[in-house]
Amino acid sequence: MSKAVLEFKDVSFQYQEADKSVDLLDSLHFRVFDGEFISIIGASGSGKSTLFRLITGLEQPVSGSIHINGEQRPNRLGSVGYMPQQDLLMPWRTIYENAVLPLEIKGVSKQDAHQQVVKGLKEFGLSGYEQNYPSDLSGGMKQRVSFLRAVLSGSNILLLDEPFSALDAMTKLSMQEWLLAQWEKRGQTILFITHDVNEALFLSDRIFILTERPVKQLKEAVVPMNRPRTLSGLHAPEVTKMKEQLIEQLRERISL
Amino acid sequence: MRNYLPSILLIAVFVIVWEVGARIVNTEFILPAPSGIGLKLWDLKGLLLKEHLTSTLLIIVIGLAISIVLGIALAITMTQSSVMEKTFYPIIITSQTIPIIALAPIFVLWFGYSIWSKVVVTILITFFPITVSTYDGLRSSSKELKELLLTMGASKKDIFFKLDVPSAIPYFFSGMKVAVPLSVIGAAIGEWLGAQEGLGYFSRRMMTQFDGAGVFAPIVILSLLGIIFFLIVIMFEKKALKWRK
Ligand SMILES: Nc1ncnc2c1ncn2[C@@H]1O[C@H](COP(=O)(O)OP(=O)(O)OP(=O)(O)O)[C@@H](O)[C@H]1O
Ligand SMILES: [Mg+2]
Repeated sequence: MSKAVLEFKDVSFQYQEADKSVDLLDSLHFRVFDGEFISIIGASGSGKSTLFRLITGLEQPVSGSIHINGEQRPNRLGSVGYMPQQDLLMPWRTIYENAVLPLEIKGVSKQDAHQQVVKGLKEFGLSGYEQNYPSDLSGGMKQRVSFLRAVLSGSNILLLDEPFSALDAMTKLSMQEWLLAQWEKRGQTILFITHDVNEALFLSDRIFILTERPVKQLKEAVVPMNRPRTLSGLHAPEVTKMKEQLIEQLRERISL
Repeated sequence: MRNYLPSILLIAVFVIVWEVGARIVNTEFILPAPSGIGLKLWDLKGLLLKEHLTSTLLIIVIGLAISIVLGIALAITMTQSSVMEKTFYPIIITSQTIPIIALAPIFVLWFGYSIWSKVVVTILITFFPITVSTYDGLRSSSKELKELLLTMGASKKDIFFKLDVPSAIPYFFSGMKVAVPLSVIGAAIGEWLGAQEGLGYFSRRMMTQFDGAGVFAPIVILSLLGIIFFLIVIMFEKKALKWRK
């Protein structure tokens, strides 16, 4: 198997609230390999976004260690590409200026940055919108800008937090296909949070399920589908069976 | 223009009623007619515009400029240091309960009839809206965007210039829209109390001479000045906030 690009070693984490502390992770251990597409599902409040906050370095584990590309660094900020739950574009920046943000911060020269952004906008079907403001764009387009911004961070690991949850069904579908095409082309590792079991099955190699609290172990499902994927593939018997299992596991969590 | 039609009509009615009323009352020195004020303006235009307007304008421009620099500096200091915030914020808020206008004579004592006594009044009256709005604006920046910038490896400086400052700009302009008309009032009041030139001074001098139209004529110019400054702020605001639709 290829090398692990992300590894959690016995990571425990808790949020401190007024007088009590809420345990979210308890010696959690998992690995993600180079070029994998991983979906993370779990009930609301189960700690999915928190997992991302730990990976990006916005939060620090109470104990244990997080390894990115084989390195353990206490300051991980700036080492992965992160696309937050809302598209979070800066309304005062044009599409071009929004996309160039991570390059500005990394101190990439203006010329270099320009080349990368223009190329990216073209690949993402956003050419001609460089000088528009986010308010001019549709939801799907804003998501693409936000995704481009994460890609331009230059990291080989991308964290996408429910990127398509606010889109209508049709847009969502075309965005999923588009995302798969981008991923296949770029070979980055993607961690993808979603509430939508179908979406997780359609997109990912493996699915992590957060069921308990605190999370001691990620339940894991390997999606039994070849690539390239088609929507009809979702109706194969072994896939529908897995879907039922996944929904069952999520329901258990809710009835707790 | 059509949007303003009702306002324009109302003002026209008001001026006509005033004109008719003034002619009926017929006491030029107490209630001058709008036409009389217009004539007076025309007669005095050289004197008013060249001498008195320049002097008032200078006070407004200097006062506003200092207010903007001080206000922004203090707002930034308060957002960067919680000690500064705890020290200054309550003082700035309570300072608004001091009747600044009543303090104006003190400044005449200190600075005499020089331009600075008037500038100080203008600063004190415009400082508050500029500081508080800029401060609120700097603190209004979204926490989510800040975290996003952090995940990109942003420094404190990046966050300040790429997030806090742009977030503060709409607030700053709101503050300016309050401050600009106040600056005209501040300058005029300063001039009432101690000046040898300026529109406020001239208006007051005409009062002592029972020249009603002479009192109003400089006030008309002062109002126009306020309106022009306001429009200039709006122009800059439109430019700076073209992303807002
Ligand atoms: N800053 C914080 N301080 C204290 N508790 C927090 C904080 N952020 C999140 N929590 C709590 O931690 C738990 C997990 O939150 P998290 O945002 O990771 O959930 P999630 O799985 O992403 O949920 P959703 O699907 O609704 O996005 C929740 O119960 C939440 O209330
Ligand atoms: Mg979440």
